[in-house]
Amino acid sequence: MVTIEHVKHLAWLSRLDLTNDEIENYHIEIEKIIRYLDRLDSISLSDVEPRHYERRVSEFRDDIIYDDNQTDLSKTTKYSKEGYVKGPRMR
Amino acid sequence: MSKLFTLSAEQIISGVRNREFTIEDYVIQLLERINDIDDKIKAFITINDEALNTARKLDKKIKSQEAVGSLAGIAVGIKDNICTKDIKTTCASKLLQEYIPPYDATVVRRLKERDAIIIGKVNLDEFAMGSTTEFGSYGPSHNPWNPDYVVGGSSGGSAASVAALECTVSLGSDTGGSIRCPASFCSVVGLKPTYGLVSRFGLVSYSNSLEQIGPLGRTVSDIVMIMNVIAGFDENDNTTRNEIKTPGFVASDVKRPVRYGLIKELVEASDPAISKLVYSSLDLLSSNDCKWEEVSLNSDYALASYYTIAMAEASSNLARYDNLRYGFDFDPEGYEWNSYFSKIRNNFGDEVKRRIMIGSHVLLSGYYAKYYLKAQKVRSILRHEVKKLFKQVDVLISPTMPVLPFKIGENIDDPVKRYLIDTNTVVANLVGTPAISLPAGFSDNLPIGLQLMTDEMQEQLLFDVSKMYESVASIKRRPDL
Repeated sequence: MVTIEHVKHLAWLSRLDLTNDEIENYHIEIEKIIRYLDRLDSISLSDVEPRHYERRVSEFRDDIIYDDNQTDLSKTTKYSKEGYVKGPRMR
Repeated sequence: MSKLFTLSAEQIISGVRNREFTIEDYVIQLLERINDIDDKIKAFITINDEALNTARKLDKKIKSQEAVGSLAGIAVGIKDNICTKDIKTTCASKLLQEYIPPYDATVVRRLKERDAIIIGKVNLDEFAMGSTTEFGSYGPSHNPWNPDYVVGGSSGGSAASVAALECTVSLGSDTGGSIRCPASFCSVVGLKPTYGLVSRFGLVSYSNSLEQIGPLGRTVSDIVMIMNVIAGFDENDNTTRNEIKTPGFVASDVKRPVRYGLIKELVEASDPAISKLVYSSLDLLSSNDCKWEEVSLNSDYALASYYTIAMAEASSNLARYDNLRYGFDFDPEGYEWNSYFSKIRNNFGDEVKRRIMIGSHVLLSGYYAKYYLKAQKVRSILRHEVKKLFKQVDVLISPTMPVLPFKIGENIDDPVKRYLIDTNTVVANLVGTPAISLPAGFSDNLPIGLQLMTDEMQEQLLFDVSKMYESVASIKRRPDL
Protein backbone atom coordinates (compact mmCIF):
# COMPACT_ATOMS: atom_id res chain seq x y z
CA MET A 1 0.00 0.00 0.00
CA VAL A 2 1.26 3.44 -0.92
CA THR A 3 0.62 5.92 1.88
CA ILE A 4 0.22 9.69 1.71
CA GLU A 5 3.42 9.96 3.73
CA HIS A 6 5.25 7.94 1.12
CA VAL A 7 3.93 10.20 -1.66
CA LYS A 8 5.17 13.23 0.30
CA HIS A 9 8.57 11.54 0.55
CA LEU A 10 8.61 10.87 -3.22
CA ALA A 11 7.72 14.52 -3.83
CA TRP A 12 10.66 15.60 -1.66
CA LEU A 13 13.08 13.23 -3.42
CA SER A 14 11.86 14.55 -6.78
CA ARG A 15 12.10 18.17 -5.53
CA LEU A 16 8.45 18.94 -6.28
CA ASP A 17 6.64 21.45 -4.10
CA LEU A 18 3.17 19.89 -4.28
CA THR A 19 0.04 21.36 -2.74
CA ASN A 20 -2.05 19.20 -0.40
CA ASP A 21 -4.68 18.78 -3.13
CA GLU A 22 -2.05 17.60 -5.56
CA ILE A 23 -0.71 15.10 -3.03
CA GLU A 24 -4.24 13.71 -2.46
CA ASN A 25 -4.97 13.42 -6.20
CA TYR A 26 -1.61 12.00 -7.18
CA HIS A 27 -1.73 9.51 -4.31
CA ILE A 28 -4.72 7.68 -5.83
CA GLU A 29 -3.21 7.55 -9.32
CA ILE A 30 0.32 6.70 -8.18
CA GLU A 31 -1.01 3.82 -6.09
CA LYS A 32 -2.92 2.44 -9.13
CA ILE A 33 0.17 2.64 -11.31
CA ILE A 34 2.50 1.09 -8.72
CA ARG A 35 0.02 -1.73 -8.20
CA TYR A 36 0.19 -2.39 -11.95
CA LEU A 37 4.00 -2.42 -11.84
CA ASP A 38 3.87 -4.86 -8.91
CA ARG A 39 3.21 -7.67 -11.37
CA LEU A 40 6.95 -7.72 -11.99
CA ASP A 41 7.24 -9.23 -8.54
CA SER A 42 5.27 -12.31 -9.52
CA ILE A 43 8.01 -13.75 -11.71
CA SER A 44 11.20 -15.33 -10.53
CA LEU A 45 14.17 -14.00 -12.47
CA SER A 46 17.11 -14.96 -10.30
CA ASP A 47 18.86 -16.75 -13.19
CA VAL A 48 18.51 -13.90 -15.65
CA GLU A 49 21.23 -11.34 -16.34
CA PRO A 50 19.87 -7.78 -16.77
CA ARG A 51 21.67 -7.30 -20.04
CA HIS A 52 19.58 -6.27 -23.02
CA TYR A 53 22.18 -4.60 -25.21
CA GLU A 54 25.82 -5.44 -25.66
CA ARG A 55 28.38 -3.73 -27.79
CA ARG A 56 32.10 -4.46 -27.73
CA VAL A 57 33.99 -1.22 -27.69
CA SER A 58 37.75 -1.13 -27.74
CA GLU A 59 38.50 2.17 -29.26
CA PHE A 60 39.95 5.41 -28.00
CA ARG A 61 39.42 8.80 -29.49
CA ASP A 62 42.42 11.00 -30.17
CA ASP A 63 43.29 13.32 -27.32
CA ILE A 64 43.00 16.54 -29.26
CA ILE A 65 41.67 19.91 -28.23
CA TYR A 66 39.03 21.53 -30.37
CA ASP A 67 37.32 24.82 -29.87
CA ASP A 68 33.53 24.85 -29.92
CA ASN A 69 33.21 28.56 -30.55
CA GLN A 70 29.91 28.02 -32.38
CA THR A 71 27.77 27.72 -29.26
CA ASP A 72 26.92 30.94 -27.48
CA LEU A 73 25.61 30.12 -24.02
CA SER A 74 25.39 33.68 -22.74
CA LYS A 75 21.78 34.15 -23.87
CA THR A 76 20.28 31.13 -22.15
CA THR A 77 19.74 32.95 -18.87
CA LYS A 78 19.52 36.63 -18.00
CA TYR A 79 20.75 35.96 -14.46
CA SER A 80 24.42 35.74 -15.23
CA LYS A 81 27.48 37.91 -14.58
CA GLU A 82 31.00 37.75 -15.99
CA GLY A 83 30.49 34.26 -17.38
CA TYR A 84 28.92 32.87 -14.19
CA VAL A 85 25.29 31.80 -13.82
CA LYS A 86 23.45 33.07 -10.74
CA GLY A 87 21.91 30.43 -8.50
CA PRO A 88 20.03 30.23 -5.19
CA ARG A 89 22.04 30.16 -1.97
CA MET A 90 23.06 26.81 -0.53
CA ARG A 91 21.39 27.25 2.86
CA MET B 1 0.71 25.25 -59.56
CA SER B 2 -2.22 24.83 -57.27
CA LYS B 3 -2.22 22.54 -54.24
CA LEU B 4 1.53 21.99 -54.11
CA PHE B 5 1.00 20.96 -50.50
CA THR B 6 -0.52 17.65 -51.67
CA LEU B 7 2.77 16.54 -53.26
CA SER B 8 5.14 14.00 -51.75
CA ALA B 9 8.77 14.81 -50.92
CA GLU B 10 9.97 13.14 -54.12
CA GLN B 11 7.51 15.16 -56.22
CA ILE B 12 8.53 18.43 -54.55
CA ILE B 13 12.22 17.81 -55.14
CA SER B 14 11.72 16.91 -58.79
CA GLY B 15 9.26 19.81 -59.34
CA VAL B 16 11.82 22.27 -57.95
CA ARG B 17 14.65 20.73 -59.97
CA ASN B 18 12.61 20.89 -63.18
CA ARG B 19 11.66 24.52 -62.45
CA GLU B 20 7.93 23.67 -62.44
CA PHE B 21 7.56 25.86 -59.34
CA THR B 22 9.84 27.67 -56.88
CA ILE B 23 10.50 26.72 -53.27
CA GLU B 24 9.03 30.09 -52.32
CA ASP B 25 5.75 29.13 -54.11
CA TYR B 26 5.62 25.91 -52.10
CA VAL B 27 6.46 27.47 -48.72
CA ILE B 28 3.91 30.27 -49.25
CA GLN B 29 1.22 27.66 -49.94
CA LEU B 30 2.19 25.70 -46.83
CA LEU B 31 2.13 28.80 -44.63
CA GLU B 32 -1.29 29.73 -46.06
CA ARG B 33 -2.54 26.19 -45.43
CA ILE B 34 -1.29 26.29 -41.83
CA ASN B 35 -2.99 29.66 -41.42
CA ASP B 36 -6.26 28.25 -42.82
CA ILE B 37 -6.55 25.00 -40.90
CA ASP B 38 -4.20 24.84 -37.95
CA ASP B 39 -6.66 26.46 -35.55
CA LYS B 40 -8.73 23.29 -36.01
CA ILE B 41 -5.78 20.83 -35.80
CA LYS B 42 -3.39 22.70 -33.47
CA ALA B 43 -0.39 20.73 -34.75
CA PHE B 44 2.05 23.68 -34.54
CA ILE B 45 3.52 25.40 -31.50
CA THR B 46 5.92 27.72 -33.38
CA ILE B 47 6.17 28.69 -37.05
CA ASN B 48 9.71 29.44 -38.23
CA ASP B 49 9.59 33.07 -39.38
CA GLU B 50 12.82 32.55 -41.35
CA ALA B 51 11.31 29.77 -43.50
CA LEU B 52 10.30 32.07 -46.37
CA ASN B 53 13.69 33.85 -46.41
CA THR B 54 15.48 30.53 -46.55
CA ALA B 55 13.23 29.47 -49.43
CA ARG B 56 14.02 32.68 -51.34
CA LYS B 57 17.78 32.28 -50.81
CA LEU B 58 17.62 28.71 -52.15
CA ASP B 59 15.58 29.83 -55.20
CA LYS B 60 18.24 32.49 -55.94
CA LYS B 61 20.95 29.82 -55.87
CA ILE B 62 18.94 27.56 -58.17
CA LYS B 63 18.30 30.44 -60.59
CA SER B 64 22.02 31.20 -60.78
CA GLN B 65 22.76 27.52 -61.40
CA GLU B 66 24.52 27.04 -58.07
CA ALA B 67 24.37 23.64 -56.41
CA VAL B 68 21.77 23.08 -53.72
CA GLY B 69 21.35 20.18 -51.29
CA SER B 70 19.46 16.99 -52.06
CA LEU B 71 16.49 18.02 -49.88
CA ALA B 72 16.07 21.52 -51.36
CA GLY B 73 12.33 22.22 -51.36
CA ILE B 74 11.34 19.92 -48.49
CA ALA B 75 9.58 21.53 -45.53
CA VAL B 76 10.01 19.66 -42.27
CA GLY B 77 8.00 19.93 -39.06
CA ILE B 78 10.22 19.24 -36.03
CA LYS B 79 8.79 17.82 -32.80
CA ASP B 80 9.26 20.46 -30.11
CA ASN B 81 11.55 18.26 -27.99
CA ILE B 82 14.27 18.39 -30.64
CA CYS B 83 16.62 21.39 -30.37
CA THR B 84 16.57 23.94 -33.17
CA LYS B 85 19.07 26.79 -32.96
CA ASP B 86 17.44 30.19 -32.37
CA ILE B 87 13.94 28.69 -32.57
CA LYS B 88 12.04 28.24 -29.30
CA THR B 89 12.06 24.60 -28.10
CA THR B 90 9.52 24.14 -25.34
CA CYS B 91 8.82 20.37 -25.03
CA ALA B 92 5.23 21.65 -24.52
CA SER B 93 6.27 22.48 -20.95
CA LYS B 94 5.84 25.66 -18.89
CA LEU B 95 9.34 24.98 -17.61
CA LEU B 96 10.88 25.52 -21.06
CA GLN B 97 8.38 28.08 -22.34
CA GLU B 98 11.14 30.60 -23.08
CA TYR B 99 13.98 28.25 -23.98
CA ILE B 100 15.82 29.07 -27.20
CA PRO B 101 18.54 26.48 -27.86
CA PRO B 102 21.97 27.81 -28.84
CA TYR B 103 22.55 24.78 -31.07
CA ASP B 104 20.86 22.45 -33.56
CA ALA B 105 20.28 18.78 -32.84
CA THR B 106 22.41 16.60 -35.11
CA VAL B 107 19.32 15.50 -37.10
CA VAL B 108 18.33 19.16 -37.65
CA ARG B 109 21.87 20.12 -38.68
CA ARG B 110 21.97 17.23 -41.17
CA LEU B 111 18.61 18.25 -42.68
CA LYS B 112 19.74 21.88 -42.99
CA GLU B 113 23.05 20.84 -44.59
CA ARG B 114 20.95 19.28 -47.37
CA ASP B 115 18.88 22.48 -47.63
CA ALA B 116 15.65 21.18 -46.08
CA ILE B 117 13.56 24.00 -44.60
CA ILE B 118 12.38 23.85 -41.00
CA ILE B 119 8.79 25.07 -41.31
CA GLY B 120 8.05 25.01 -37.59
CA LYS B 121 7.94 23.14 -34.26
CA VAL B 122 5.10 20.75 -33.68
CA ASN B 123 3.04 19.76 -30.67
CA LEU B 124 3.64 16.85 -28.31
CA ASP B 125 2.75 15.53 -24.89
CA GLU B 126 4.90 17.38 -22.36
CA PHE B 127 8.46 16.02 -22.44
CA ALA B 128 7.15 13.25 -24.74
CA MET B 129 5.29 11.63 -21.84
CA GLY B 130 1.97 10.45 -23.16
CA SER B 131 0.21 8.61 -25.97
CA THR B 132 -2.47 11.12 -26.94
CA THR B 133 -0.91 14.64 -27.21
CA GLU B 134 -3.44 15.81 -24.59
CA PHE B 135 -0.86 16.52 -21.89
CA GLY B 136 1.10 19.43 -23.29
CA SER B 137 0.89 22.98 -21.97
CA TYR B 138 -0.37 24.22 -25.37
CA GLY B 139 -3.43 21.98 -25.24
CA PRO B 140 -4.34 18.95 -27.35
CA SER B 141 -3.86 18.48 -31.06
CA HIS B 142 -6.94 17.35 -32.99
CA ASN B 143 -7.17 14.44 -35.40
CA PRO B 144 -7.38 15.67 -39.03
CA TRP B 145 -9.81 12.78 -39.76
CA ASN B 146 -12.20 13.89 -37.00
CA PRO B 147 -11.24 16.88 -34.83
CA ASP B 148 -13.11 15.51 -31.77
CA TYR B 149 -10.66 12.62 -31.65
CA VAL B 150 -7.10 12.33 -30.36
CA VAL B 151 -4.12 12.33 -32.72
CA GLY B 152 -2.20 9.79 -30.65
CA GLY B 153 1.14 10.66 -29.09
CA SER B 154 3.48 11.77 -28.01
CA SER B 155 4.50 12.91 -31.54
CA GLY B 156 0.91 13.97 -32.25
CA GLY B 157 1.78 17.27 -33.94
CA SER B 158 4.31 15.48 -36.16
CA ALA B 159 1.69 13.03 -37.44
CA ALA B 160 -1.20 15.50 -37.67
CA SER B 161 0.82 18.11 -39.61
CA VAL B 162 1.85 15.51 -42.21
CA ALA B 163 -1.69 14.06 -42.51
CA ALA B 164 -3.19 17.55 -42.80
CA LEU B 165 -0.69 18.50 -45.54
CA GLU B 166 0.88 21.29 -43.46
CA CYS B 167 4.44 20.09 -44.15
CA THR B 168 6.16 17.57 -46.43
CA VAL B 169 7.54 15.34 -43.70
CA SER B 170 8.18 15.63 -39.99
CA LEU B 171 10.47 14.32 -37.27
CA GLY B 172 9.18 12.76 -34.09
CA SER B 173 10.64 10.75 -31.23
CA ASP B 174 9.58 7.26 -30.15
CA THR B 175 10.16 5.98 -26.60
CA GLY B 176 7.31 3.45 -26.28
CA GLY B 177 5.42 4.01 -29.54
CA SER B 178 5.38 7.80 -29.73
CA ILE B 179 5.94 7.91 -33.50
CA ARG B 180 4.00 4.78 -34.46
CA CYS B 181 0.90 5.49 -32.35
CA PRO B 182 0.14 8.91 -33.88
CA ALA B 183 1.16 7.62 -37.33
CA SER B 184 -1.48 4.88 -36.92
CA PHE B 185 -4.14 7.26 -35.56
CA CYS B 186 -3.54 9.80 -38.36
CA SER B 187 -2.99 7.35 -41.25
CA VAL B 188 0.59 8.29 -42.12
CA VAL B 189 3.84 6.32 -42.23
CA GLY B 190 5.99 6.53 -39.08
CA LEU B 191 9.29 4.77 -38.38
CA LYS B 192 11.10 4.03 -35.14
CA PRO B 193 14.64 3.12 -36.28
CA THR B 194 16.98 0.58 -34.67
CA TYR B 195 18.26 1.96 -31.37
CA GLY B 196 21.52 3.71 -32.14
CA LEU B 197 20.90 4.28 -35.85
CA VAL B 198 19.87 7.94 -35.45
CA SER B 199 21.69 10.37 -33.19
CA ARG B 200 19.89 11.60 -30.07
CA PHE B 201 22.22 14.60 -29.70
CA GLY B 202 19.83 17.52 -29.28
CA LEU B 203 16.83 15.37 -28.39
CA VAL B 204 15.61 16.46 -24.97
CA SER B 205 16.02 13.29 -22.94
CA TYR B 206 13.04 11.47 -21.49
CA SER B 207 14.20 7.86 -21.44
CA ASN B 208 17.61 7.55 -23.03
CA SER B 209 17.85 3.75 -23.34
CA LEU B 210 14.50 3.52 -25.14
CA GLU B 211 14.05 6.56 -27.34
CA GLN B 212 14.92 7.23 -30.97
CA ILE B 213 14.20 10.09 -33.34
CA GLY B 214 12.42 8.98 -36.51
CA PRO B 215 10.65 10.35 -39.60
CA LEU B 216 6.93 10.59 -40.40
CA GLY B 217 5.67 11.05 -43.96
CA ARG B 218 2.89 10.27 -46.39
CA THR B 219 4.85 7.61 -48.29
CA VAL B 220 7.52 5.00 -47.55
CA SER B 221 9.84 6.63 -50.13
CA ASP B 222 9.69 9.91 -48.22
CA ILE B 223 10.67 8.11 -45.01
CA VAL B 224 13.63 6.46 -46.76
CA MET B 225 14.74 9.82 -48.17
CA ILE B 226 14.82 11.38 -44.71
CA MET B 227 16.54 8.37 -43.12
CA ASN B 228 19.34 8.64 -45.67
CA VAL B 229 20.03 12.11 -44.31
CA ILE B 230 19.50 11.75 -40.56
CA ALA B 231 20.81 8.22 -39.88
CA GLY B 232 24.42 7.27 -39.27
CA PHE B 233 27.15 7.43 -36.66
CA ASP B 234 27.49 10.69 -34.70
CA GLU B 235 30.52 11.35 -32.51
CA ASN B 236 28.31 13.54 -30.31
CA ASP B 237 26.18 10.52 -29.33
CA ASN B 238 28.17 7.51 -28.22
CA THR B 239 25.11 5.28 -28.34
CA THR B 240 25.05 5.58 -32.14
CA ARG B 241 26.26 2.54 -33.97
CA ASN B 242 29.35 2.83 -36.10
CA GLU B 243 28.32 0.17 -38.64
CA ILE B 244 26.66 2.86 -40.73
CA LYS B 245 28.47 6.14 -41.28
CA THR B 246 26.65 7.13 -44.48
CA PRO B 247 23.37 5.33 -45.02
CA GLY B 248 22.39 4.20 -48.52
CA PHE B 249 18.86 2.92 -48.11
CA VAL B 250 16.72 2.52 -51.22
CA ALA B 251 12.97 2.52 -51.70
CA SER B 252 12.69 0.09 -54.54
CA ASP B 253 9.91 -2.18 -55.73
CA VAL B 254 12.06 -5.28 -55.43
CA LYS B 255 10.00 -8.31 -54.53
CA ARG B 256 11.53 -10.69 -52.06
CA PRO B 257 10.27 -13.95 -50.62
CA VAL B 258 9.52 -12.92 -47.07
CA ARG B 259 8.27 -14.93 -44.09
CA TYR B 260 5.85 -12.97 -41.90
CA GLY B 261 5.01 -13.82 -38.31
CA LEU B 262 1.68 -12.55 -36.99
CA ILE B 263 1.94 -11.99 -33.23
CA LYS B 264 -1.26 -13.71 -32.24
CA GLU B 265 -1.54 -12.33 -28.69
CA LEU B 266 -1.56 -8.76 -30.01
CA VAL B 267 -4.20 -9.44 -32.66
CA GLU B 268 -6.46 -11.32 -30.23
CA ALA B 269 -6.39 -8.40 -27.79
CA SER B 270 -7.37 -5.83 -30.44
CA ASP B 271 -10.64 -4.22 -31.33
CA PRO B 272 -12.48 -6.58 -33.76
CA ALA B 273 -12.46 -4.00 -36.58
CA ILE B 274 -8.67 -3.84 -36.25
CA SER B 275 -8.06 -7.61 -36.22
CA LYS B 276 -10.36 -7.98 -39.24
CA LEU B 277 -8.26 -5.47 -41.15
CA VAL B 278 -5.01 -7.16 -40.10
CA TYR B 279 -6.20 -10.49 -41.50
CA SER B 280 -7.27 -8.90 -44.78
CA SER B 281 -3.85 -7.24 -44.98
CA LEU B 282 -2.30 -10.69 -44.65
CA ASP B 283 -4.51 -11.90 -47.51
CA LEU B 284 -3.15 -9.06 -49.64
CA LEU B 285 0.41 -10.03 -48.75
CA SER B 286 -0.23 -13.76 -49.40
CA SER B 287 -1.48 -12.97 -52.87
CA ASN B 288 1.97 -11.47 -53.47
CA ASP B 289 3.94 -14.62 -52.82
CA CYS B 290 4.50 -14.02 -49.12
CA LYS B 291 4.06 -16.70 -46.53
CA TRP B 292 2.75 -15.96 -43.08
CA GLU B 293 2.28 -17.94 -39.90
CA GLU B 294 1.08 -17.22 -36.38
CA VAL B 295 3.78 -16.76 -33.80
CA SER B 296 3.60 -16.32 -30.06
CA LEU B 297 5.31 -13.59 -28.08
CA ASN B 298 4.57 -13.47 -24.39
CA SER B 299 4.68 -9.78 -23.66
CA ASP B 300 2.69 -9.92 -20.41
CA TYR B 301 5.39 -8.15 -18.49
CA ALA B 302 6.67 -5.94 -21.32
CA LEU B 303 4.43 -2.99 -20.48
CA ALA B 304 5.30 -3.06 -16.77
CA SER B 305 8.98 -3.36 -17.68
CA TYR B 306 8.72 -0.46 -20.12
CA TYR B 307 7.00 1.91 -17.70
CA THR B 308 9.35 1.02 -14.86
CA ILE B 309 12.45 1.73 -16.95
CA ALA B 310 10.99 4.79 -18.69
CA MET B 311 9.85 6.42 -15.47
CA ALA B 312 13.12 5.63 -13.69
CA GLU B 313 15.14 7.19 -16.49
CA ALA B 314 12.74 10.15 -16.66
CA SER B 315 13.20 10.93 -12.96
CA SER B 316 16.95 11.03 -13.56
CA ASN B 317 16.85 12.88 -16.90
CA LEU B 318 14.49 15.57 -15.63
CA ALA B 319 16.55 16.22 -12.52
CA ARG B 320 18.52 18.76 -14.56
CA TYR B 321 15.57 21.19 -14.71
CA ASP B 322 16.72 23.62 -12.06
CA ASN B 323 15.88 26.74 -14.08
CA LEU B 324 19.48 27.95 -14.00
CA ARG B 325 20.88 27.02 -17.41
CA TYR B 326 17.55 26.72 -19.27
CA GLY B 327 14.04 27.52 -18.16
CA PHE B 328 11.96 30.61 -17.67
CA ASP B 329 12.46 34.01 -16.08
CA PHE B 330 12.47 33.56 -12.29
CA ASP B 331 15.15 35.34 -10.25
CA PRO B 332 16.84 32.99 -7.72
CA GLU B 333 17.59 36.00 -5.47
CA GLY B 334 16.50 35.33 -1.86
CA TYR B 335 15.81 31.63 -2.35
CA GLU B 336 17.49 28.65 -0.78
CA TRP B 337 18.58 25.82 -3.10
CA ASN B 338 15.94 23.14 -2.38
CA SER B 339 13.02 25.53 -2.08
CA TYR B 340 13.91 27.28 -5.36
CA PHE B 341 14.14 24.00 -7.24
CA SER B 342 10.96 22.56 -5.76
CA LYS B 343 9.06 25.74 -6.53
CA ILE B 344 10.09 26.06 -10.18
CA ARG B 345 9.77 22.33 -10.79
CA ASN B 346 6.13 22.55 -9.81
CA ASN B 347 5.66 24.01 -13.28
CA PHE B 348 5.84 20.51 -14.71
CA GLY B 349 2.41 19.18 -15.75
CA ASP B 350 0.57 16.49 -13.75
CA GLU B 351 1.61 13.55 -15.95
CA VAL B 352 5.28 14.55 -15.83
CA LYS B 353 5.19 14.98 -12.05
CA ARG B 354 3.54 11.57 -11.59
CA ARG B 355 6.16 9.87 -13.76
CA ILE B 356 9.08 11.54 -11.99
CA MET B 357 7.69 10.46 -8.61
CA ILE B 358 7.09 6.87 -9.69
CA GLY B 359 10.57 6.86 -11.19
CA SER B 360 11.94 7.92 -7.81
CA HIS B 361 9.91 5.14 -6.18
CA VAL B 362 11.23 2.32 -8.37
CA LEU B 363 14.81 3.44 -7.79
CA LEU B 364 14.57 3.67 -3.99
CA SER B 365 17.12 1.44 -2.33
CA GLY B 366 14.43 -0.77 -0.80
CA TYR B 367 12.52 -1.18 -4.08
CA TYR B 368 15.21 -1.16 -6.75
CA ALA B 369 15.51 -4.95 -6.94
CA LYS B 370 11.74 -5.44 -6.93
CA TYR B 371 11.07 -3.05 -9.81
CA TYR B 372 13.98 -1.63 -11.77
CA LEU B 373 16.25 -4.66 -11.70
CA LYS B 374 13.34 -7.00 -12.50
CA ALA B 375 12.28 -4.73 -15.37
CA GLN B 376 15.78 -4.90 -16.90
CA LYS B 377 15.74 -8.67 -16.57
CA VAL B 378 12.35 -8.87 -18.30
CA ARG B 379 13.95 -6.79 -21.03
CA SER B 380 16.71 -9.40 -21.45
CA ILE B 381 14.18 -12.21 -21.69
CA LEU B 382 12.10 -10.31 -24.23
CA ARG B 383 15.18 -9.66 -26.35
CA HIS B 384 16.01 -13.33 -26.28
CA GLU B 385 12.43 -14.27 -27.29
CA VAL B 386 12.33 -11.76 -30.14
CA LYS B 387 15.73 -12.91 -31.46
CA LYS B 388 14.41 -16.48 -31.44
CA LEU B 389 11.38 -15.40 -33.47
CA PHE B 390 13.62 -13.72 -36.05
CA LYS B 391 15.26 -17.09 -36.72
CA GLN B 392 11.82 -18.41 -37.62
CA VAL B 393 10.41 -15.42 -39.59
CA ASP B 394 11.81 -12.31 -41.27
CA VAL B 395 9.15 -9.76 -40.30
CA LEU B 396 6.82 -9.58 -37.30
CA ILE B 397 3.35 -8.17 -37.94
CA SER B 398 0.74 -6.82 -35.56
CA PRO B 399 -1.74 -3.97 -35.39
CA THR B 400 0.11 -0.81 -34.34
CA MET B 401 -2.59 0.03 -31.80
CA PRO B 402 -5.05 -2.32 -30.06
CA VAL B 403 -7.76 0.36 -30.19
CA LEU B 404 -9.21 2.86 -32.63
CA PRO B 405 -8.61 6.58 -31.98
CA PHE B 406 -10.89 7.76 -29.18
CA LYS B 407 -12.43 11.11 -28.24
CA ILE B 408 -10.29 13.82 -26.66
CA GLY B 409 -10.72 13.68 -22.89
CA GLU B 410 -12.20 10.15 -22.91
CA ASN B 411 -9.30 8.39 -21.16
CA ILE B 412 -7.77 11.30 -19.36
CA ASP B 413 -8.67 10.15 -15.84
CA ASP B 414 -7.46 6.58 -15.97
CA PRO B 415 -3.66 6.38 -16.24
CA VAL B 416 -3.38 2.57 -16.39
CA LYS B 417 -6.03 2.36 -19.15
CA ARG B 418 -4.05 4.94 -21.11
CA TYR B 419 -0.78 3.07 -20.60
CA LEU B 420 -2.32 -0.20 -21.84
CA ILE B 421 -2.72 1.18 -25.36
CA ASP B 422 1.08 1.07 -25.68
CA THR B 423 1.14 -2.73 -25.36
CA ASN B 424 1.84 -3.40 -29.07
CA THR B 425 4.54 -0.78 -29.51
CA VAL B 426 6.78 -1.03 -26.41
CA VAL B 427 8.45 -4.31 -27.45
CA ALA B 428 10.45 -2.64 -30.23
CA ASN B 429 11.77 0.01 -27.81
CA LEU B 430 12.69 -2.48 -25.09
CA VAL B 431 14.55 -4.71 -27.54
CA GLY B 432 15.95 -1.96 -29.79
CA THR B 433 14.56 -3.33 -33.07
CA PRO B 434 13.16 -1.09 -35.83
CA ALA B 435 9.40 -0.90 -36.34
CA ILE B 436 7.17 1.00 -38.75
CA SER B 437 3.47 1.85 -38.81
CA LEU B 438 1.79 1.85 -42.22
CA PRO B 439 -1.71 3.09 -43.10
CA ALA B 440 -3.87 -0.04 -43.40
CA GLY B 441 -7.40 1.24 -43.69
CA PHE B 442 -10.26 2.74 -41.73
CA SER B 443 -13.17 1.82 -39.51
CA ASP B 444 -15.95 4.47 -39.42
CA ASN B 445 -13.50 6.97 -40.90
CA LEU B 446 -11.02 6.34 -38.07
CA PRO B 447 -7.55 5.22 -39.20
CA ILE B 448 -5.96 1.85 -38.49
CA GLY B 449 -2.23 1.20 -38.76
CA LEU B 450 -0.30 -2.00 -39.41
CA GLN B 451 2.99 -2.44 -37.56
CA LEU B 452 5.92 -4.27 -39.16
CA MET B 453 9.06 -5.06 -37.20
CA THR B 454 12.38 -6.53 -38.33
CA ASP B 455 15.53 -7.49 -36.49
CA GLU B 456 17.97 -4.75 -35.51
CA MET B 457 19.84 -2.98 -38.35
CA GLN B 458 17.49 -4.63 -40.90
CA GLU B 459 15.98 -1.32 -42.02
CA GLN B 460 16.45 -2.11 -45.73
CA LEU B 461 14.32 -5.25 -45.39
CA LEU B 462 11.74 -3.23 -43.47
CA PHE B 463 11.65 -0.61 -46.23
CA ASP B 464 11.33 -3.27 -48.94
CA VAL B 465 8.35 -4.99 -47.30
CA SER B 466 6.77 -1.65 -46.36
CA LYS B 467 6.97 -0.42 -49.95
CA MET B 468 5.42 -3.66 -51.12
CA TYR B 469 2.59 -3.47 -48.58
CA GLU B 470 2.01 0.18 -49.42
CA SER B 471 1.53 -0.64 -53.11
CA VAL B 472 -0.89 -3.54 -52.50
CA ALA B 473 -2.89 -1.78 -49.76
CA SER B 474 -3.02 1.39 -51.85
CA ILE B 475 -4.49 3.71 -49.19
CA LYS B 476 -4.89 7.00 -51.05
CA ARG B 477 -7.45 8.85 -48.89
CA ARG B 478 -6.77 12.32 -47.54
CA PRO B 479 -8.62 13.94 -44.63
CA ASP B 480 -11.40 16.32 -45.58
CA LEU B 481 -9.77 19.66 -44.72
